[in-house]
Order: sequence, then C-alpha cells, then structure tokens
Amino acid sequence: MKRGYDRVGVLYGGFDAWLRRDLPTQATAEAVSPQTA
Amino acid sequence: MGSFGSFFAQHVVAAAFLFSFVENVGLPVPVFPVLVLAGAWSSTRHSLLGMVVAAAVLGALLADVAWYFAGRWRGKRVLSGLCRMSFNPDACLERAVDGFHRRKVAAVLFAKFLPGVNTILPPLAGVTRMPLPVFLGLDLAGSVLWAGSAAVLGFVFGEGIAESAKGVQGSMGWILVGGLVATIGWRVAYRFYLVRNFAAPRISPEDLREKMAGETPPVVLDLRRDDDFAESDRMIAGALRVRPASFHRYAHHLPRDRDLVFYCT
Repeated sequence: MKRGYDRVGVLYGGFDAWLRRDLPTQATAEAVSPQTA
Repeated sequence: MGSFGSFFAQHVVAAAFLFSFVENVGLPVPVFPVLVLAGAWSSTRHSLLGMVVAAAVLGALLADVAWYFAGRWRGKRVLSGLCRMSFNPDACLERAVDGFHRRKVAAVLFAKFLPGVNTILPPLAGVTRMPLPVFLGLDLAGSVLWAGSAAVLGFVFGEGIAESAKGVQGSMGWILVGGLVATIGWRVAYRFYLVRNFAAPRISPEDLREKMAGETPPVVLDLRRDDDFAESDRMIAGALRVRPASFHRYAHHLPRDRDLVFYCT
C-alpha cells in the first residue's frame, strides 16, 4: 500500500463505530466501485 | 529423542498414517519429507511401499472427510476459524471461496501439494455442497498422487536418503521440532514485518466525518467481508465498495492525489 499511497488510514472502530455515532449512511444497494466511480 | 530414528524405521507404516493424519487435520507438521523418508526405508523391503502410500492416503482421507462434514454442518464458520491462522483472514476466506468455484477439480486434486490449502479445501468442498462421492473420488486421487510421489521419490533415491538419515538418526526428533519452531517463527516474524512496514494510521469517525466535509475529502473504501456487507443494508455515505478479495484489481483505479481511508465491520 505504501507504494504510491503515502496517505492511507483506517477507520478506528470500523463501521460499527460509525453507526453508533449516528453518522451519515447510504443504502448498500447504491454502492459504487472505484472502477465506476 | 535418540531412539526416534529407529522407532520410525520399525513403525514406518504407522508413522506415515499418523503424520499424514495430523498434517491434514491442520497442524504444521512437515509430512512430505517424512513420506520421502518412509519411501526410502521401504526401498529395503519392497512390499512396504504400497502400505506406506496406503497408510498416508488413509490418514489424509480420514482428516479430509472430517473437515468435509464440518464444512457441511457448520458452513463458513469453519473456514473463518481456519483463516484466522492466515495473515489476511478476510481475503483468505473470500479468495478461497472464489478460487474454489473457478477450479474445483484441480483444487481438490492438487491441494495436498500446497501446505495450508490442503486444510482449507475439504471444508470448502463441504460448504459449497460438492457431492460426497465426487469429493471422495477427487480427494482419493489427489492423496494417492501426493503420497505416492513422495514415497516413490524416497524409494527411487532410497539408498542415499537412508544413508543420510542414519547419519542424523539420533537427531531426528530435534530436526522435526526445529522445523516446527522455524515454521512458527517465520510466520510470527513475517506478521511483525507486515505490521511494522504496512500498518496504517487510524482515524476516528468524527475526524473522518470532518475530513469528508472538507475541501479535499478522502476516498473512503468499504472493505467489509462479503457476508458482513450482504447482511447490512447501510454503508458510509459516499464510500466506494471494494471486496477484500478483489482489492488488488481495483487498486489502480484509486486516485493517487487524495487520502484513502478504509473501513471494515
């Protein structure tokens, strides 16, 4: 990952932590891959 | 330990069965060299070669059938447990399933030659509901190929290997223990290397939310396992979805001028 990407991070606590704080989400049905983004 | 070599020579068929069973159950035992050695010892008594191969095949089949039924009854939970021993558990599980669907026959036939894969394949066959007769037929063929090639290799080069083995007879037990320690040591060292060189900094949900609302928002990637993603109907707003098993295929589509933030469950 460090080859070409120096600024990489990981969300602490994962998606569960995001949900617990009631932060914005979207439906997984609307998921987009990097290829189509 | 000193009598291990002579004990092995006297009970070569039992040793072939035992080592094969233990290795296929999933313990990191170097069974291929043991079978080569068993084949070498058989070169002095030709009638033993077939028994050594049969014993190794029987040991492998017993372990494999147990794993097959464990896979059928407990599903992917069995694979999750096995993949915990891997360096990348999430990718291990999904790559195993993907790879198996693409090359079922070749996978079961040649799995025995790949340490680690040979333990994952039987429960995978159970999880994917491969018919038992098909699994047994392929596993039997693969086991004969694997045990036969090792034993025949030892049989053909029997004298040289047996002479070498006599030289280290007294140390045989220590050599096996040393091999086990070296295997575990290598895995621990490699994991340490990965963490030291590739561990990424962590960002709190609040900080990520703030950055996403900023002028140059990071690219957020949902890397949850397929099971977890399918069970959930929500994801971080604006995140991109990448399956862990296929991340390497999409890496070149990611922008290099923005921060990347990954998340899993």
